[in-house]
Amino acid sequence: MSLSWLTVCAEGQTKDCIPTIQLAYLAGIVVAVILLAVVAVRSRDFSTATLALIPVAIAINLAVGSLIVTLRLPIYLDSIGTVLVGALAGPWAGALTGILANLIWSLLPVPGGAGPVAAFFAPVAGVIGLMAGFWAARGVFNLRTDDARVGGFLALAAGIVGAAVSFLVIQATVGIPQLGADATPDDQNRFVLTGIVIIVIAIAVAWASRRTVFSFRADDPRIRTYLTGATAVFAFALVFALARLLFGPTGWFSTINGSDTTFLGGLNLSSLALTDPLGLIVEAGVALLVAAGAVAWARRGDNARFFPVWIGGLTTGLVAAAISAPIAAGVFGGVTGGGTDALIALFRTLGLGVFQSAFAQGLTSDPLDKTISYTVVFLILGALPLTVRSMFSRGEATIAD
Amino acid sequence: MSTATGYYQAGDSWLHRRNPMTKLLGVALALIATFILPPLVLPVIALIVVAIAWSTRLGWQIIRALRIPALLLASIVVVNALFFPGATDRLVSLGPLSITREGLSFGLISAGRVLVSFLVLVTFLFTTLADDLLESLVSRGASHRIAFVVLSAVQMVPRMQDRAGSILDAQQARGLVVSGSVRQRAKALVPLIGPVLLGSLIDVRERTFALEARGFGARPGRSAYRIVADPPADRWLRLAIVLGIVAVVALALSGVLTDRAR
Repeated sequence: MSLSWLTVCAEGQTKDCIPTIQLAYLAGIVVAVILLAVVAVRSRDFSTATLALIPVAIAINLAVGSLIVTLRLPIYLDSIGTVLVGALAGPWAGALTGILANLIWSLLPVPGGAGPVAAFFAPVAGVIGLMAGFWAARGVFNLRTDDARVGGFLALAAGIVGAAVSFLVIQATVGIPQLGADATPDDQNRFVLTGIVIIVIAIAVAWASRRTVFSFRADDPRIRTYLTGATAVFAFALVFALARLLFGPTGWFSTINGSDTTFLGGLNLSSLALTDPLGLIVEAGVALLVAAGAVAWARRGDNARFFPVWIGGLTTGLVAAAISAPIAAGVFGGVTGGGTDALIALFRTLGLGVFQSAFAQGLTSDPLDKTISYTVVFLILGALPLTVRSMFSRGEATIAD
Repeated sequence: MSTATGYYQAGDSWLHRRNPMTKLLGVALALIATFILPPLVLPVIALIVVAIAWSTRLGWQIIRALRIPALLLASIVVVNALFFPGATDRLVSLGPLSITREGLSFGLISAGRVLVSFLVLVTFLFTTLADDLLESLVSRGASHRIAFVVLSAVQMVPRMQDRAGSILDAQQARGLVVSGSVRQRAKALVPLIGPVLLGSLIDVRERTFALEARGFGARPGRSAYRIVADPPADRWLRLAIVLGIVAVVALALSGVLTDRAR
């Protein structure tokens, strides 16, 4: 038996080789197995309190997750328990909670479960638990508006903004090559190079801002102002980007111009696409209004402390989307039975492939979903009595009173 | 479905009497066959599972349980049939959308796999008591702490639903309005979910004490009166000696020394 097929497929080669996508799946499986092994070893050291908490957290995951599936909303909300355990008992306990919750969900005849769908996303849930433990250790649920650690989160937010801005600049000037089926190796190299450049810029911006603008001492009055400002900036960016995506001159509404007769009988919605400069002014105006509302909200009481919570949720959501898209695309063709399928159908009508529509759906649902989950966990931690919190290894440090 | 035993349906069929490990291995065989064999075997496996389920006299309950994945299966078929990318063979045109052959076949295969795995799992769940399953796993060496976590989690979901029900009654007795517009019902959600969540989390404290009082966290194995020291040097020495044994045997088998003597 010859082993000549044990090579990676070159361009266009389909026989006697292993396709790169299967190699990627294999690497993913190896990583998942290693993660599981580490969690299993670490779980020997879990305290009784942690082991008593995990089933309750799993039940919370399943109860809320099933409810959302029945309501057909385009989010999941099946990680609230995972994040809670990650915050109270550490990242490995959180990872175990996530993995077990998805596996048990697959076994129980409740909505969203009873089938292989949930079990395949167990690695994603494990990573969410790890990240929740990581962020909780950095104090994401713990920060008051006079804490010096806020500077780190503001720097991270600045890095994200830097990455977004550089992405837009590069796309407007040099252009980012599309990785379609006919991409040349040159295109692929430029794509990877562009990605690396964006990441380097983000890290540089974050590091520089941490050293200069965002280096605080405790009780610095600027912290609160900066947090309020950051909330406003992100609110503006979110609303403006959404408006631009939908109503811009090259946005979604402009593509529904009647030329595609297969979509709703040649419906022409392109009149909803506003032309510049009027459209730009209108969209910016609406976004400014929302940002002003955000400023007013953030200045009341201690509301500004939500910003680091949301940054934690946003980053967790991005990572979760990146990991779950290949799973959804490869195993289920992107369809998983919840309300998110409507988003998948939407992206497929726009012509995206299976993988790209799964990734686009993930990027739309996951950051929002994890941000909501982190906020809910923040509220739960605030409401838990001290006697319960102090039973866990990280309970007392998790939240400020 | 009783709260304490989860989704188990009591009965006395041949399947109920089988050891949980046997049934678990059967589930594994069925699931592996479903996912790696070509899709032609799916109807065969489905028929076998339904026949087994019928012989346990739980057939009707299992058919009724099919309403749970019904929406997911329909969704898989519909989305793939209508929106499969790159499909060219149009079968039926429904106005702006059309059903393609490639999409339909992919959707039916995926939905078939999900359906068969659901049938297998539900048959297993209805005939196996979770306590029995975990007891047989623990007696074969699985960690009893993880077994506790899994068992507790499986029983916790119906228990939470019961708790939510009694909290609903209690809040209504205190004047909470749960009918009416969507907005009113949404506002009623917080006084319901809050006590359920926080009540369950506060119970964790009582459970921890109860478990600790029963020695849950104790390490298995005996403690010894005489402690024999085993310094690291000894371990290396033992490794060297084992290699020496292997070398001696190899030397003897290869006959090098006897040839030399000649």
